[in-house]
Amino acid sequence: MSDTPLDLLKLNLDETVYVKLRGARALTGTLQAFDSHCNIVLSDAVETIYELDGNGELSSKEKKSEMIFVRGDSVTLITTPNADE
Amino acid sequence: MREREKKTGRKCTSRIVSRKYIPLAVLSLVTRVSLQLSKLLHHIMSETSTVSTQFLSDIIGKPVNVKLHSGMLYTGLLQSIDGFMNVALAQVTEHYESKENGLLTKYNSDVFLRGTQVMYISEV
Amino acid sequence: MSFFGFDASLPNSEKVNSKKKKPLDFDETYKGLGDYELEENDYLNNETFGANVELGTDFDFGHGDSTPVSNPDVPHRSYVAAASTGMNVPQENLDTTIDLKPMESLWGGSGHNNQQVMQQPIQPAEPQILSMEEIERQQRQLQMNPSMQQQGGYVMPPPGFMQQQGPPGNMNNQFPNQFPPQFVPPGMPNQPQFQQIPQDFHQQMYQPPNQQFHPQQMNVPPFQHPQAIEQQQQQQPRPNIQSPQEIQPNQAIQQQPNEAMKSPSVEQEAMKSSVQQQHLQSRLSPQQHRPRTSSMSRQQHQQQRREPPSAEEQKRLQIRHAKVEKILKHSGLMTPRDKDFITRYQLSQIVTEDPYNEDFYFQVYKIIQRGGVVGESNKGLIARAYLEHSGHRLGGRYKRADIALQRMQSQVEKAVTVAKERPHKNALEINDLDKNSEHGRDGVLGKISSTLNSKAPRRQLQIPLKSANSNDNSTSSLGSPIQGNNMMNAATSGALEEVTESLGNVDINAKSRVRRRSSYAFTSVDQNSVLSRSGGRKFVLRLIETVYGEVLELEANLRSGKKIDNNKLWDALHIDDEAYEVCPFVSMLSFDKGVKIMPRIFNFLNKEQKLKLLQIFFSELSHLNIIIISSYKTNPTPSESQLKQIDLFQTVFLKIIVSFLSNNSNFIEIMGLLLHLIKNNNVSFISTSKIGLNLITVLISRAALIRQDSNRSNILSSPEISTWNEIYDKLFTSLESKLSLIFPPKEYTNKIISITNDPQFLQDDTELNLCYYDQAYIWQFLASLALSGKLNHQRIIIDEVRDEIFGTITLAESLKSVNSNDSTYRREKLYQDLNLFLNVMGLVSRDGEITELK
Repeated sequence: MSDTPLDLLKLNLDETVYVKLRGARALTGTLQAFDSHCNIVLSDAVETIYELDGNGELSSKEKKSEMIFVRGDSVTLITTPNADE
Repeated sequence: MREREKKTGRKCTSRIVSRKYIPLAVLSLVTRVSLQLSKLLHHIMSETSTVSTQFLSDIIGKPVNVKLHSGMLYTGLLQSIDGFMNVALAQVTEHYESKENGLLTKYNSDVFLRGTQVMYISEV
Repeated sequence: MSFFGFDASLPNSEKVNSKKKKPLDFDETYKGLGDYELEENDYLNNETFGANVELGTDFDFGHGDSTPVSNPDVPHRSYVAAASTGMNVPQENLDTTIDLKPMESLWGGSGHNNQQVMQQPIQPAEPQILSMEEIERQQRQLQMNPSMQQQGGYVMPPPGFMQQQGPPGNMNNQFPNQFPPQFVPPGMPNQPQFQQIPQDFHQQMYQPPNQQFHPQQMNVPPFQHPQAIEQQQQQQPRPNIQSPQEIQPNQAIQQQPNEAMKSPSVEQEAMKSSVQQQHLQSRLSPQQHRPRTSSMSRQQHQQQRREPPSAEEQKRLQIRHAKVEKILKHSGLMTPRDKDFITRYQLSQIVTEDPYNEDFYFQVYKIIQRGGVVGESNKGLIARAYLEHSGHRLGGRYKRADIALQRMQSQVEKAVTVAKERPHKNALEINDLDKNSEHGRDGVLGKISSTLNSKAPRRQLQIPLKSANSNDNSTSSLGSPIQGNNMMNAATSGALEEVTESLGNVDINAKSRVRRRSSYAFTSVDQNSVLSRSGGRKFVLRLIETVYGEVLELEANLRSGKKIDNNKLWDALHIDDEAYEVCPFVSMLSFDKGVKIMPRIFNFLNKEQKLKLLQIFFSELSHLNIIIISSYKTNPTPSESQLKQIDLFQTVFLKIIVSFLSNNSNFIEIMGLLLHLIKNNNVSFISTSKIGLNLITVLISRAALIRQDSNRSNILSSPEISTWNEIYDKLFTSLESKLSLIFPPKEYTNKIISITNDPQFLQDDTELNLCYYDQAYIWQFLASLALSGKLNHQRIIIDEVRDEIFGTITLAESLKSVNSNDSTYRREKLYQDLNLFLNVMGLVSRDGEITELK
């Protein structure tokens, strides 16, 4: 009985996850639900948007949402945030 | 035999166009041809699928590189993979394009990579 | 080829071919007739395939310029014959070996069956009754059929004959179902006016005198033949031979064209009678029809060519041929049924859920395969058969077309409906077929994402999943249950003995253990270090998923009133699992979702199981993640989320324990739990955590309560009391000299205050200490500890926490100076909590003083 990647993802339900998105964005929040398209619902989510300013410096800003639905298209990576993060 | 079949086949097609319904006899021909074709296709498909799936199932647990379309390169132990090319890796390091470009991130827990984003998977 | 499984071969075809040079040998030509009549399902055979026509091997759709060469000597195998059971198979076998009406229900074409049944009994005997004279007369009449036909509303000059009838293929197709099978077997085309194909028509018109036909008829104009009418009228009384049932289908047949073409009623009447007549005749003179089987007609055709007709005739013939060919080029290759079939097949392909069953090509292939070898030339034969026998039916196409249209519409409607329902079915199917890929169904929290609304992403590969690498196989019940596990199941006295006995072994300072728990991870809050000793994070998370699955199933069973069997749930909890350093169940409680499911798990456990669960829980309290993060020692700076976790545990799991202890457990069981806690854990460490302290409080206060109740009614026996005293002593010893440590340091409480309170509020009132760390739980613990202890215990307690007592009083008094509702409330609260403890010892603190309680 082997798990598919989505089975492994299922283990993270109700746990805090880090979701990397396309367009230099990342989300951290509690995984409430997901489907096979990687559409996901996060609660207490913090979205981090990375930007390069005029000087080529990397800056980021954060956006908080109580509940957020992410369309699977933009998801590239899902993992549990490292303990030190 | 073959030639005749071809000949008649050509004859038929020229007329199918003008007909609302495909004549039964043509169907019988098409049936044959499509059956042979599908057999061939199936053969090819099963051949390739066994090769690729064999590869993918063989490398489970081994260290792999996974390159995404974005150019990000993930190296880690392949935990599992499904038919959608969704990948789960353990002990993952993240690099841009190649390992020489320096470690970007190290993930301590399992990393799920979405299949649609995967460009290739290779054994390290 | 037969798409419907009919046999196109004429069983006696070879015989017929061999005898064809003696066409008037009645006895010979009659042979095999009975066989045909017995065959029920072949009603469309002739129409579909024609008789066994020798068409050569080429596949000529154009119905070519060259006259096809027939070679009767070459043994020819019909496609269908091949498809059925091989060459020259007795007809009876067909019925059993081949599904003659594949997917008949699909077409709904069962109407003709009645006709078959009705007419069958009468058929077989009739031909033999006829006398020679009768047969002869009928032959003559039959020759006039073409002209009679034209009387019936289809008056037209011979050259335009086919054109006015409409495309022969269509006509042919108008009544595929109306013809009872036994009317159409090859070699006995008993409905000449419909079946007659153009070639036959003019073949007969120009038949050489040496044929069996009357030469005179060749000169008869094909329309408005007075003689024919006469003859027909003469024969009108004849139907006495014909049974009424037999007439009916014929009427049905002929009425259709009439209705459809809206021909005048007079004509209709005329036609009706003529059709009946002809039909009767044709049945009575089977021999006459022999020449019309395709092979025969072809032969005649050839004979006719060999005897050159007059130039005029030839010209006429050529014109006719040209026209007929033009018309026949493509028509009649498919009957409406065939077209319907194709249409339905195409539709069904759109909505199919069973590709194999609905795959037209596959079905056909299957049919062919059954017949074994398939000759290459059969394709040509099939095509030819279709060509030759197209257009032998007349009229009625409009109505049929309407019906076809209606059917089509309903099919499309159906297809749309099915397509609408489909995603749902698919989802179900997926769940049924592939349990492994049922993502987005019930998750841990019963959440459902909508795979129902969208198609799943395209699967690109089928990857065989190795079944090996699972560490999920339940490794339960290895080794013996831990010490004292069974005592609660034993009788009270025995249990008591065990308690007493095990008490003797309790070594509070050393962590003597059954399990191989060498060290406690007090130094780290890292979940993973604890989890790694119970199978790892992933393993525990999997267990939680399994448990959720089991609970959901049990709850479903409960709702549907099925029998509840919690064995699987119990196994999933891994309570007995000795394979890991830390019981996996305890690690489950490290996750919020593991905590949240507990009340639902408890619904399905019996008392013994609950007790066992709690024994394990108290035994391994030190490993409990929540203890670690709620202890200021191991987690001096808790995060907001950790505080939430602590809160969750308190409201969910502590509540379960309290309710279990107060409702279900007796004194001995509580003592047992406390014993497990003391024996296996560092009590002083546990007491530094809020949760741990609360747990101990719950146990000893419950025990104290029972003891007080029992004191009144003298239920507790003296050994029970002495055992309790012993256990209490152990507990107290482990806490002695460390009691002050249960009060968290100021930094810790401040940290918690800063997290739990609005920062804005804090800034304004920090000095006033209006935001405080609620220490009520500590005083509750001390109160219950003191309650169960003797006086010397109480003295020690007071001695150890003296500073805290006076500190609290000082704090309360300092609030006195602040005149606000908040501070007054806060002051009251401080005294209230403190007095909870002091009251146990008969003291009360009030207005900065401690006095004896009166």
